[in-house]
Amino acid sequence: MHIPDGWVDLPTSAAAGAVALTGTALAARRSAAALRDRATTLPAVVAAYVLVAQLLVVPVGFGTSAHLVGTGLAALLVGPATAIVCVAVVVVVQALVLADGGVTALGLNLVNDGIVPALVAWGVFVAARPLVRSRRRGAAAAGGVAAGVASLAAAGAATLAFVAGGTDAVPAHVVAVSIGGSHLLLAAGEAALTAAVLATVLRLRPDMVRALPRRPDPAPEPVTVGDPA
Amino acid sequence: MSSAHGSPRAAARLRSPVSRLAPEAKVVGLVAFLLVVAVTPAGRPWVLAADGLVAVAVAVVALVDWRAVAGRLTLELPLVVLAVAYALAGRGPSVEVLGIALSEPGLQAGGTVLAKATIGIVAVSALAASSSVPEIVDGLRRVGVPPWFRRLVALTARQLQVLRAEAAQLRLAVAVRTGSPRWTVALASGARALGSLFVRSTERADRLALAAELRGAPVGGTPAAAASAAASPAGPLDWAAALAPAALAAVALVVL
Repeated sequence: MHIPDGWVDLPTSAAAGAVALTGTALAARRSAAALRDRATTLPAVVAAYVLVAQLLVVPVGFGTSAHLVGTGLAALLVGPATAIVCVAVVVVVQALVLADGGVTALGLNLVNDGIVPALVAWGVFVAARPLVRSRRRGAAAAGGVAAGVASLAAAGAATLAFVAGGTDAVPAHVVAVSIGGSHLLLAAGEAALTAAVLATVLRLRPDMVRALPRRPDPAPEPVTVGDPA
Repeated sequence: MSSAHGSPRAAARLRSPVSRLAPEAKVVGLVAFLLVVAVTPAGRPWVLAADGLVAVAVAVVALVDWRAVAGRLTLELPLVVLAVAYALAGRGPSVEVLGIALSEPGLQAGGTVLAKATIGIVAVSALAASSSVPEIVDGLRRVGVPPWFRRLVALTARQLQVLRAEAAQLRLAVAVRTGSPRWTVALASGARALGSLFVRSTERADRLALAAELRGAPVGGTPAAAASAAASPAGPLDWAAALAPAALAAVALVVL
């Protein structure tokens, strides 16, 4: 669910746009430095991956459904800088091609869906990393929690934007409660799905999860064929 | 494969008068129109009604598939809930509607957000129905989007096709193996499919990058180049036609 046109006034949209532009430019610079040896296909692949991941839909009841937002997941997989650049592409494609999210609210959506959750998910995971015992289940669970907290942080940012530039016809606490309440559910779904996806990636290629520190390369295990005895 | 760059449906797309306009003019026209709609204050329903009419008229001319528009409009359901919350919990003065006391400013604010979102969806649908992704990417050039970002959008559109097909295969494979009608199991297998999709597509990206490096070519140089070569520059007629909706909306804002 993206913020539509006209949800907040133009000065707030413009301010969010400025934050989004600066944030994305900084992230692009960092990401370019980090990806120098991997050329430029990875961000495109991750952006397309986030778009595809959003097709995984959870029924919530009342005929509505929620889907994975995927920013937290992307941040854990490829790092926050690259994730922010990818979500910028995702938000632009959604606004201009899929008509999801307002064109004048592009900056706001970038801050809300990209910059805030990417940084929060990364921060929470890095903070929780010393507590993780097993590299598979523990790391997946911590990633899930990080993505859930990131989703709540995004809801908080949306509420702040509304308080700054939304209509004054409705008391701010009503908006805070309605956005926060619905996002509690969404955050739980985001956490469960992120943990499940991370668990699979950790099983197949743990080296692809950027949020985990590289282990020093272990000596290659001797291949035993047949009965070693 | 290489001839498809980002738009397999280009041949299937209907040719409308709008699809003949230069894409950069269309993108600028869309943004201008939505800006005028966004500055319309709450409590001016006739202005928004006129804007809506303009958007629908353009969509009709652009031969929009209305079923697709209806599908996109379901994205608005949470907004309807929000509008109802505004009306129930907004400040006074209240009005009586069907025996329920509703906040008048809340009703206005909720209705305005809903109306603007609907206009936005119809207007963007008109652009999407009349332009291919490479054309839209080319249009972004005029709005001042830097080349690296345009290249990334073009590459993403290409990767999206590949990943969508692969995700469908994976989901089918996992569903066949775990096959259960219960949605919890379906969801878990969907998550597993997504996990392996990431591994597969990242491995392919690495292979592509390595291959390009071995050839000494910069990765992803072609799609954006193909996109910018695709369209002829916008003439004054293009600009006039593309900016007409925004002008009409501005007139409505001043007159109504």
